[in-house]
Amino acid sequence: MSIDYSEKIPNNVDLAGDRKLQRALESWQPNFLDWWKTMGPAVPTEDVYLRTAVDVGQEGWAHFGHVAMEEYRWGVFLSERNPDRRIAFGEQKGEPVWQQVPGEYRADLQRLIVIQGDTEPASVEQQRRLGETAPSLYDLRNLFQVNVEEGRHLWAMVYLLHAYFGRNGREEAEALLQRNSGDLDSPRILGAFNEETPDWLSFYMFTYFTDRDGKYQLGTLKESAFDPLSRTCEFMLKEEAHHMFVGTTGIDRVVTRTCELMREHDTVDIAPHGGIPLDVLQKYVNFHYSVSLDLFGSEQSTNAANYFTAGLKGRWQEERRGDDHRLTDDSASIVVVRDGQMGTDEVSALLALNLDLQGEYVKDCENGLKRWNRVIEKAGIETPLYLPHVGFNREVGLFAEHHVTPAGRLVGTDAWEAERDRWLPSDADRAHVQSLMRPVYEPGKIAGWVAPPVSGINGRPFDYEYVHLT
Amino acid sequence: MPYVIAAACVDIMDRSCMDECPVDCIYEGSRKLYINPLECIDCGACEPACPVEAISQDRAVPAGQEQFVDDNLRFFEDVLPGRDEALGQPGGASDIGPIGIDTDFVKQFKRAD
Repeated sequence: MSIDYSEKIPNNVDLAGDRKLQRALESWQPNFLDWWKTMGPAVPTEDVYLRTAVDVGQEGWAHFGHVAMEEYRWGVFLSERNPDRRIAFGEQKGEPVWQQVPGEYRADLQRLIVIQGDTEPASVEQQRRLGETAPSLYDLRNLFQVNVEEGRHLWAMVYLLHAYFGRNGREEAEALLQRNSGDLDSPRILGAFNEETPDWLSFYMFTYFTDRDGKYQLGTLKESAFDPLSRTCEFMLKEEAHHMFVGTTGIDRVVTRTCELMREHDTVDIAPHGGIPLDVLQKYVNFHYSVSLDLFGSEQSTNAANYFTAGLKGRWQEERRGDDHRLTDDSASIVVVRDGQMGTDEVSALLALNLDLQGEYVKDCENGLKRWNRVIEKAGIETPLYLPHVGFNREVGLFAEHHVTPAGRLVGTDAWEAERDRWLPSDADRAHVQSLMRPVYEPGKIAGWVAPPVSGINGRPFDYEYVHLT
Repeated sequence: MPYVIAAACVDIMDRSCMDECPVDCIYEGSRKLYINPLECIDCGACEPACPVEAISQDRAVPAGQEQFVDDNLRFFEDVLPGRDEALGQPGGASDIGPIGIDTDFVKQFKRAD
């Protein structure tokens, strides 16, 4: 079903056929726009070259053009329905998927949707001021594209809350606009979404490591027996791909520029030459990777087991797996810390589902590191980047009570505190990165700490005027 | 290595995946498409677009099709028949158009059906 743009809220869910729901969402819309004006991008613009969803099918789904940000058409888009779709896992495997929320799963499904929904506006808030220091108009445009699509993902979750969860759902939808990233009294639900994104290196790291967590979370919700949630997440994944593009190629470009400066000045200390040293990049990797690992929840989780058994949340690529999709007789190995040593325990595979997802994510991240290390190696530099141990700097899960070095060694609090600034960005590192953040708004120009992209957006050149500032 | 196109694409080449890729890293051979592992950003957008489920992560290719993982890399790192140099990282498939050549492995590949 194509998207109806003649409606106040563009949608492909026949909102006009449900006046009550339409009115409810139309009454939420001004609150969303108020939130966007208050908490959205701080840099005033005339218009931005943005991608807007125009369909959900395979025959081209997006339109590109200059759009005034406040006139962006946020809406409700679900992937096409498969009338034959059946539950792929859990106790009810093989039964038809649900078009309504079963009463016994109402609270759990609502919680899953609220948690996912809470992350969407959070990142917009975290990135609010980044436009003031954009390294190029190309990057500024990419930031705004990420922001408007996170806003649309909020709409996606709010639609589900309004359409399927009654008054409780409407109240939760309001609350999504009331909590704010980093707010002491009313913070966002998950820790990573209360961290600051104070500079563009953090933004690239966030869109690589944290948005990649989003890929995996949405991938598991796409498997859900609750079909509207599944279809919503399937379409969100399409948009999320751009965010990962921004992160992957953003870090590519920083690594490239760092290597260029190292070769040019024949030194690792390129800070005085306006670059970001490799050891600082490594610390940013350590921070963003470890904070993002926390988003997967505890490695051993009864909630995850219950969600799976009930059919609410599957595994990554559930339908392509070759097991029985019930896992009641399977086991998994998890790392535990016992008597000051790391060891392993065998637990039910159902209890280790968060670890299963985390493992998939880690393999993706390893690919990223290989990619950046190819750039480093090609430049003839022998200091590769690496991923720290999964227990490093964790605040959630089996390692939360322990200090683990990037190499995977358990250490005491004193040793941790003594070495902390060697492993995580120090105040001095952050201050240096911040000192490089100066806006470059001239088409075709770019800041000195990052390389230009290999190509522009939608076939446009790098020097295209992607953003018209006011 | 990131996403890989395997046997189901051979002689089908639907090309829907090419429209989805945000970095334009899916290149067209003669009998199948190839994802450039040097350019792929692991976003996964291509995978659900394929109507014949030919695309998967390198760690999840269907049993018996593991050879396609290395073969996808060979398409870009080896000099293909009739060309002077390896494709490497051209930076986008739409700029160079169909390559129209396959690796020896794909050229000789016989579909099971």
